[in-house]
Amino acid sequence: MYEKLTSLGDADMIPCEEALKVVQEYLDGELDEASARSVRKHFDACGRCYPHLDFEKAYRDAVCRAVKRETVPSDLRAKVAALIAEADGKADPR
Amino acid sequence: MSDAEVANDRIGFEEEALPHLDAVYRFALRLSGNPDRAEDLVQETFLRAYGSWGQYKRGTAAKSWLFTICRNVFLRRVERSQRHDEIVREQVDRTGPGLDPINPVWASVEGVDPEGEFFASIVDERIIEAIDELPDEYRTAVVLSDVEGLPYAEIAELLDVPVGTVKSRLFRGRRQLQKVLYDYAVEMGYVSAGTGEEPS
Repeated sequence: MYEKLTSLGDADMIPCEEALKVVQEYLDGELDEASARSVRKHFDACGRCYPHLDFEKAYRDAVCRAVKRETVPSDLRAKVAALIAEADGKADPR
Repeated sequence: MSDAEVANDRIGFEEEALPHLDAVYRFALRLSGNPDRAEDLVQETFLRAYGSWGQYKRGTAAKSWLFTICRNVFLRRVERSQRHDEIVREQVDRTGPGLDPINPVWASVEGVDPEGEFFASIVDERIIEAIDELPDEYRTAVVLSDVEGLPYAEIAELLDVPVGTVKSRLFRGRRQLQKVLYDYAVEMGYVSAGTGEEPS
């Protein structure tokens, strides 16, 4: 099935494989402006690759949601504040 | 140090470092895999951070700086425990998903769920479990990027590895995690096993 992935024929268009290879860097905002533009152009125009962006985003959303929903112990902030106050109280904490 | 300087330091620390307490706790939890140990890690992290607050350059990446301290505290503790050998083994283990530009999980669901809607059906607990099952080096990179949104350069500095290594860990870690979540989604019937190539 991978053999079917070829350039769309547009001289200005990067091939599918090239766009897919850097999809993570693209979503992470790690590509320079020109490369990001080329990748965006490919995903906008390529019907096959386009859903891949949503796929990667759906994965990230799920991971982010799960980790961020974990409860931080309610008294942790107070404990840390108390430790810092205690450190200040010592003769020379530094 | 005068009382006024101490008060100033404290205010600066409270304004710049303490807002990251939740993020540091989440990071500590993923590193240690245990709420009690995570709480200890957070307390030691902030105490150490406060102790070296004088060396911190105001207005720079406070979150990354706290993560670095947290990870160092964690690694020092691990070095003293049995898990050290295990972690070293994980770090030299270069096996894992290959570098094929086509994501094999995506290739599998392309015909049935190309936008990966199945990810949204998976319960938080299962996702957390899957993250915690990742090798340490992949898990850290994935959490720092996917959850905390740190740039590659900051992650590289934090982990003391080249940017290329961060990219490779993220690439492999994400693929491995996606594969585990996909297998679970198939098992639960959230997505039917694709007609595409079986992910390896």
